[in-house]
Amino acid sequence: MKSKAVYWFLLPAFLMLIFFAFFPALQVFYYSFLDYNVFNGNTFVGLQNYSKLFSDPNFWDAFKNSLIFLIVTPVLMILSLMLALMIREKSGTSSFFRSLFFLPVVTPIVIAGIIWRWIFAEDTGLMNYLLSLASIPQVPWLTNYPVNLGSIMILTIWRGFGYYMMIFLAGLAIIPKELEEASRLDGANKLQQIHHIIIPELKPTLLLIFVISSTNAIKIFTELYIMIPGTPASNKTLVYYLYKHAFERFDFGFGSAAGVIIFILTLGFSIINVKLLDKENV
Amino acid sequence: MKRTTELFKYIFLILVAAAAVGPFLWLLGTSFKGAEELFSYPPKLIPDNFILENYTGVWNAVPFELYFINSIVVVAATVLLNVFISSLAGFALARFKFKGKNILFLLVLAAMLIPKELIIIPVYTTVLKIGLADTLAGVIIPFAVEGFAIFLMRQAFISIPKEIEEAAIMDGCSYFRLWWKVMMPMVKPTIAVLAIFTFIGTWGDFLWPLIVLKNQENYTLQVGLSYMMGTFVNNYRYVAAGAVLAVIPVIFLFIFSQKYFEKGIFAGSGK
Amino acid sequence: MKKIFVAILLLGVIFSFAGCGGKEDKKVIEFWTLQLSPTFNDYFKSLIKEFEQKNPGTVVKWIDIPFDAAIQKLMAAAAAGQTPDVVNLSSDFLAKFYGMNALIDFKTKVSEDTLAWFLESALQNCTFEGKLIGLPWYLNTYVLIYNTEYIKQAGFDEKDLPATFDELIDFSKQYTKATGKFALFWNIGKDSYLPMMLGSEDVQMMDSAFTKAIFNLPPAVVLIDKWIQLYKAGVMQRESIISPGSSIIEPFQSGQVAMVFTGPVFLKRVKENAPGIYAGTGVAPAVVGKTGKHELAAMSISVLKNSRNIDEAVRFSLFLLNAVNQLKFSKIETTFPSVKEALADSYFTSDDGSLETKAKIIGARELPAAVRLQKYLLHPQFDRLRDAFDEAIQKAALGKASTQQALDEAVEKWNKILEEN
Repeated sequence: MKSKAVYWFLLPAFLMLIFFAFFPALQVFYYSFLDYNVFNGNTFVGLQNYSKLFSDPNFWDAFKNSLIFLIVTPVLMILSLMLALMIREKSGTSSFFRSLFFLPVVTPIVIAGIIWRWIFAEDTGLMNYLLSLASIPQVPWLTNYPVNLGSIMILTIWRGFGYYMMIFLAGLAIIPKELEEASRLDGANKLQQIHHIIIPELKPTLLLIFVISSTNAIKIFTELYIMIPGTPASNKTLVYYLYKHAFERFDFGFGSAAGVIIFILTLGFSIINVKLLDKENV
Repeated sequence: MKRTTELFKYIFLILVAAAAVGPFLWLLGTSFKGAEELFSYPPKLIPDNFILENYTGVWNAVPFELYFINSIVVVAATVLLNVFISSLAGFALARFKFKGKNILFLLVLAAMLIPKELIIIPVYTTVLKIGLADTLAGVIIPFAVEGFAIFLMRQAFISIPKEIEEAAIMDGCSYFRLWWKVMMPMVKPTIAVLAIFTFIGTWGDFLWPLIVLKNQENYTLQVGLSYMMGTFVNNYRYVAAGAVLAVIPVIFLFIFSQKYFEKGIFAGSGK
Repeated sequence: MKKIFVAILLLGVIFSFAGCGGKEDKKVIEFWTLQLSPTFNDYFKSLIKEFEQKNPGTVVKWIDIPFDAAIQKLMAAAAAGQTPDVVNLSSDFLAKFYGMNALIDFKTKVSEDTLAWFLESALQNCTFEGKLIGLPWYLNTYVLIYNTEYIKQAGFDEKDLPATFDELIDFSKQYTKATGKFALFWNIGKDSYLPMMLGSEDVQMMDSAFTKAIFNLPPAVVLIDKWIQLYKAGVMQRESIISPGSSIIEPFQSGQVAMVFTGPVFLKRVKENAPGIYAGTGVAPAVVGKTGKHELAAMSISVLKNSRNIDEAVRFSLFLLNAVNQLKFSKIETTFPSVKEALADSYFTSDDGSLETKAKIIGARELPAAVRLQKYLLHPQFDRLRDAFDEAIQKAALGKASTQQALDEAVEKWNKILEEN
């Protein structure tokens, strides 16, 4: 459709985004060039924050670790799609499972952290206890790098699969039932249906989930903060690095520089994804 | 052959369900435990002695009803604003051809990726300047519309076949009617997901309300509950009970929206 | 559509005026505390009321903020030009605020006589490079909290409890040998207490001019290595090297370890969350080194330079910190006042037989000899120093480097940071 009316539809959203997203973001971008001190006035330091950033080995470790977390994305996508396909029926059983799978999404992260810290506790936790029953040597789930990243990935997958499953369920529910009926009458089995009808219809949802999940992986923070805050900086990720410098070191200008880099990285990643997977619409 | 796949399917579902539900069950169990049972080792899921004292305790320790109502107001307003405004924008980005369409979509992605922790400080300054500091409106408005929501709705509207649009226009439908009466109903499942996610996100938001609010009368639930975990006050069972109470509205919302996630609830074409 | 546009514009205009409230002729002081609500709600309400009565023309607004997002809230308020006037800071925050040059030097506003109210050691905790940027408020020192059942089961008696760090190491080894479990939970990696141990053993981490780090030389290396070896021998929980300091009481309260040394204020948590453990809990003086000195931790009260009512703010601070009000505060929770007169009160020697009272008496007795043992915490870059040290311990404990190598690396980092000043 083509019409001037389109701008009216866009106006409210973009007004909000301009005032409360883009304008503050520009301010933060400006801060990244300052030695920011709320109490005593800011000093302009040019690119100093950025050069400090790029020469900090902890930053590069964080960068590397953030990219490592991308492993989670395909796992989450496949797992949540599989589950969504299994429980989209109108039955009570399906509804029951849908509700259960949703629980990790609503369990407060603090509570989830307490449980998972106990599960992964190295001396007294569930995992090592089970391993000891099977005479398998104990695993340093939290103290050892990179094993601790794996433990965080497990927690992330646990927290995330219900979330993405719901988005898939919505995307699947929108598929007109005639399409699936017709292919069934044509004699297609489940697998063929999935391949020929469902996946193509799900393309927009797949793109959405891929972009969200991968950028969330790069930006992972809360799970680390809850589970392994005490591990060395070389075990941490980009947003953790930002948080530490902005809010523990009180070096907000430097933190802003880190934020700008994270933003550029995730935006670049998303643009590539969109260009590759959304050709018809972009 | 079919029966074995069915069996494997159910085993898989049950295993995943057990993992999903475990921590929540522990939370639930803890909220009913007396202090003696809290740290039994190995940890007990279900208490031997159910008590309600934790619930009454946390209800009285903080002004629970007040905080609960504040949270409801904030969440309801945020959900409405987000769903409507983002759907309008998502619809425009999905169905129209216009100059600058790609740039605007890019801006939507960018908005989604701006690190929230950093912009909280300049946003607060803006909120203060427009006189909304220490008000619920100040909590609601800045983050009511999300890039994610616009993206989500855009993808949903993209799936609708062109024939629908063409038919409606031929019938003399205004664009607004097309959006409200024809397309929105077709993406109800996505709207349900957006409503639920916005609900969860806003309901559980702690940092922004904490920054904006000063007067304890305006506190939302998460801020109020955070006072239950400090040096001088640190009762795990109250915290658990508070967390369960806080999660109940979300669960109800989810259960009531179940029908939107079922297969093929919509007919394909035709008004 | 146009109508909506106009409406939005009008709202914007209205809101921009909403900020201008009527000017008050009363001076308003904002007083921020760290997570003292709801425990101290009544205390502050009546204290503020009394102050306002004695100082007509001044109004005090009390705002309590949770630890979790204290920094963000403070920074957002400051960025918006809304700094509090009087603020309660933990020692970490105090050092950071000193680094940002945000606080007034009380020496310029408070007489020598008034400063004499306070424990000298507590004042030292708030003095950075000669400037007294905070006044100490409620104090904490360490006591040994132990599980009498577990001690007995391991074949020990109260009199066998360790009194020195060396005894503590031997005790832990014997305990683990006897029971296969862990005696002590102590943070040696993240938020490491090893500097405290060194301080108590009279081993300096830096030279007297604070320009060079020397903890990679004996005797520091020797003492540190003892603990690394203890960890490697499996006598300490694996998480001792990554657990943050704030969760120190948890392994004790969940029955995983037999003892921990931390502030008496944590006994209440054990009482609430694990009454079974609490029933069998005992307290003893904390373990010390050669000097017999204990660590002193202080919460402080500071006044911000940006305050528009500095004199009133100082007056309120002194009112809050006077002996009467501090004694009342200490009676609500097991903390210690920073003024000598309050500490001398019979409350701190009266025994009602309860565990918390015993802890209170022990703590109060130790307090005059308690001092900030971890001198490096008074350096503006203390957090970078701490991180470098903590990470060295973690490296050595996990076997990624020898103790000597790890400490050498940390000393290099320290020297670079110390040079920056």
